[in-house]
Amino acid sequence: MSVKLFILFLCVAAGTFCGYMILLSYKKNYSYLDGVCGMISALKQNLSYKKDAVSVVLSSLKVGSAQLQKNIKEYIGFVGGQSEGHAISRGFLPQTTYDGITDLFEAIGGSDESSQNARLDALSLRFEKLRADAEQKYKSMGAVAVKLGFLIGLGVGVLVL
Amino acid sequence: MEALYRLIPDKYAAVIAKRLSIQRLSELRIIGGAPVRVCYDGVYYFLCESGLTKDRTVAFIASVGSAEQIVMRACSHSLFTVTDTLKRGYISVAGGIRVGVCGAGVMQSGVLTAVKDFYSVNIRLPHEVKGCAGVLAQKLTSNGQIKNTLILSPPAAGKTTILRDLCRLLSDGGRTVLLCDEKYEIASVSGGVPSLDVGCCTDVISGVDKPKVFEMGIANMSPEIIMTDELFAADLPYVRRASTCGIAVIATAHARDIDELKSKHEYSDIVATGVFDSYVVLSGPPLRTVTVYEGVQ
Repeated sequence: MSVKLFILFLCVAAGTFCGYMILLSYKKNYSYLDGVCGMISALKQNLSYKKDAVSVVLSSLKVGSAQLQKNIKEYIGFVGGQSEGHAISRGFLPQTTYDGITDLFEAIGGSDESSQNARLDALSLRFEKLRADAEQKYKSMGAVAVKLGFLIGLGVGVLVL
Repeated sequence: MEALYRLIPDKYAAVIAKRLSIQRLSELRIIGGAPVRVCYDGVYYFLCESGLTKDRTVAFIASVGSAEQIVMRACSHSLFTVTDTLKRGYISVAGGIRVGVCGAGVMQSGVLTAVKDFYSVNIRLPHEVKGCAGVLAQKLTSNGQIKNTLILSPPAAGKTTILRDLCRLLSDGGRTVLLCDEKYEIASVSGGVPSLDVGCCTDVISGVDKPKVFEMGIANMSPEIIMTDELFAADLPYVRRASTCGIAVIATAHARDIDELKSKHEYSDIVATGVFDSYVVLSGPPLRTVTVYEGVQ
């Protein structure tokens, strides 16, 4: 009996774990997009008064997402002449987010203040929409994924036994 | 000179670091598709694999687009930080380096709004020669007062170097100096700290037009001396105003000698009215003489 219960527990744990991993992937995407929105806001704020170089603003920025940190490092490396290409690594990013971040890093710094502001405004709108979608997915579908994982695990466990 | 090496292509940087003395290098001129030239000990050479040459066939040829790359590196890929100075033809870089830029202007209703299609750059390196203005500092002092002085020389003869040292000596001697460093060349303030020695009693205002500095400085900083580089005709009323407020002004201007200065319509008035008590004429390399004239009318 205890072996059966143990197998059931394993199946439930595995199902819940899978659901949790899906939740984490939604969270990672949301956290990345939240960081990008914060980054754009910091750039706009700096542009309105201090007008520091983009790399100076980005290097002093604290971001929670490891992928965004990596992308910022890649950009600063390129600007500082440590890397030749302008390549931004994709990691776990969905295509829409990756396209957006590539556009962002290509757009910043390449024009005068007013064009820069206009470009940042447009990119800000784009990323805020992506963030809202990601937040909604994280909150609703993430929770569903955990619950579903638990139930599937339970179902599989019952069937196995 | 890490700042210089970050600006230029690696192969030029490697040759300069390995074969040349940075102290003797004052300019690096890069034109897309043309041989790279350097001013070394006041003489122009081409830059090549083995260092310097007069033979253009062995010189490094700058790639088309290299001026643009240097401009982007100079502004850390943030053009909006240098739009204003670009419109005046230069970018200031950390360490007192000034990058002169040529390209195509974008005009809108007769106003220059941007510069594009960068064609060539002239990278000018600052030189700190401590003590070079020692004798001059004594000559410009009379009964404890500093004379209004205009330092004249053709371009690249050392006006800024001598002005910087004069500033350091007068400031370290206890004078309150207000330094107008419009192009970040004299003190080269970066992050609020001067990277070149301009003395312990010097207030530095960087990146601001001279008229504004004279206005702000006289009102708020009560300087004994105002020092500034590259005076133009439009700045002269402010010099007059400062001198009537009991503030000595030491400035520089582009002219080979006093006669050439007088022949320039915009400066003739200032010579005639005698706003400046002394004129210092610097000759370029190789002689580099310093001659002081007083009571010029």
